[in-house]
Amino acid sequence: MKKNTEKTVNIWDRLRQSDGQSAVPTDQPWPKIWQGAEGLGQDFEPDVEAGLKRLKAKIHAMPVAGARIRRLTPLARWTRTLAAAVVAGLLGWGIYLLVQPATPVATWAEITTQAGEQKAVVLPDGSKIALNSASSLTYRTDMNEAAERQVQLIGEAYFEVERRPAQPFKITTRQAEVEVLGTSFNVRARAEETTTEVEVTQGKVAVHHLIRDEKVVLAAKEAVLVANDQPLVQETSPHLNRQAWRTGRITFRETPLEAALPLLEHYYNVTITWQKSAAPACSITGNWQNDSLTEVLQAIAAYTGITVKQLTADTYQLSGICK
Amino acid sequence: MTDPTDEELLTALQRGEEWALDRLFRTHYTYLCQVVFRVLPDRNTAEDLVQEVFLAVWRKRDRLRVEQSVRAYLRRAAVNRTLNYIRDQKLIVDDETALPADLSSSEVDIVQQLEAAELAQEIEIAIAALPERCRLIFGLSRFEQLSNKAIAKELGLSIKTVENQMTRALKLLRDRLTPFFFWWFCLLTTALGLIVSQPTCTT
Repeated sequence: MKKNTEKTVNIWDRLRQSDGQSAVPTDQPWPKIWQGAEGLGQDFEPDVEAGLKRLKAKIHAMPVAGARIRRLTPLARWTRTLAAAVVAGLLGWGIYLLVQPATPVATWAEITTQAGEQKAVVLPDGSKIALNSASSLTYRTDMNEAAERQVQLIGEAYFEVERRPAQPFKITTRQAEVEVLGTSFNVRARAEETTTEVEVTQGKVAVHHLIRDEKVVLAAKEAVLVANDQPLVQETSPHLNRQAWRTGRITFRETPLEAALPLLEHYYNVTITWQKSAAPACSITGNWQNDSLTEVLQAIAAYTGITVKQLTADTYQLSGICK
Repeated sequence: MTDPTDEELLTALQRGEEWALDRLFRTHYTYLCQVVFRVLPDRNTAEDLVQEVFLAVWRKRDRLRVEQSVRAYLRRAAVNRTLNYIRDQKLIVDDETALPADLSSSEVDIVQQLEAAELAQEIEIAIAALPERCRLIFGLSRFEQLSNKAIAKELGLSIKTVENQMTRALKLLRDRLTPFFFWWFCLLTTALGLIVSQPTCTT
């Protein structure tokens, strides 16, 4: 047995040193195995152009589509973070400063969107980010060299993170730290809201509640709500319309009209009033994809029997009784 | 117009001309990904590592020293990165005392699977089925033709660990493939009508 093993190893070494050319007794399988392995991996055809694009993104480390970048000094960055925290009156800002690792030498770039504006961003590591309106994303410009790819988010963004097992991608909001290796997910951490919400489309995401120091790992189609001093709330099914800003798709499933209207107001940036005349509970069902508000409201009117009236360019009034 | 030579490409690269990088990338990317993939069978990681090679080439373009062909240089850089990755990720832990596991447990119903398949493909399947640590060491031995000693040195492992894993890989391959070689041999000889009374070929 032992002898046999030694023989095997010796024959293999001879093959290795002769690139498979060494003469070996014909009853041994090694030359065939050596030969047969020759083509291994040659059916792996990576997408060269996609790869080149990814490389270029890393080389230029520039956001696409003319996004505005402002470089912040470390001091300005901290002042800004601090100011935001104080203005929001957060309980957890002190903890945030403690937890956030100090990286005084790192340079940071900030990309912001105005209300009603969205931007597509490619980070130096090739990760793609869709930044929703009135949001700000700050990232380390040297993330390719850093142990962790760090970004900070105020507002809402959808992330498609480049897979890099050795370099975790970390998003810090005021309430939460979201850590991934490579996956797709939505993070909502609005300045006017005291919560951070993470909804996973693909892969696994670790969310750390910075204020309560709790952790949860989310899988695809799971979501979690991180509120200032509340325990983590894990939601098994994600919000139907949470990613409507990105996908252009609005879905209602027996949704009460009272719940649907704020979403439409936010999504279309309008005001909708509803004069409830002691109406019975009114719910709506339907799908819309990149449709105008008029189309959506017409469908709701047809479905419920209520009347829709446009008062000004961005004000609508609903009235009547649901069928 | 003829293709630029390696030398011309390098000169252009050193001047910071990006088309030279594009050219190198398009010419060598697939090849390098396959080189890495043969050792480290994970498509995403293979691409990531090759991306890093090109990124490094671009970053240090003004002090690039290429003494062989560009292809050989890139291949060496990719293999080095792969070795570093295997070492840093601790994909193989140093464990001298680990004995080769019971090999009989891996005996699957291989003969049936083998009958329809071609030899090389079966060998690839058998290699892919090796436990990860064996697979990595085997890949370095077969494709980079590194000795056990060199593998141990590159990965920061003891030579005993490498020898154990290599022995295990070879034994697993042999045990998996022997029935096939045997069957294949019988088929061949039977087809040629050379044997009628070969009693061991009746299974």
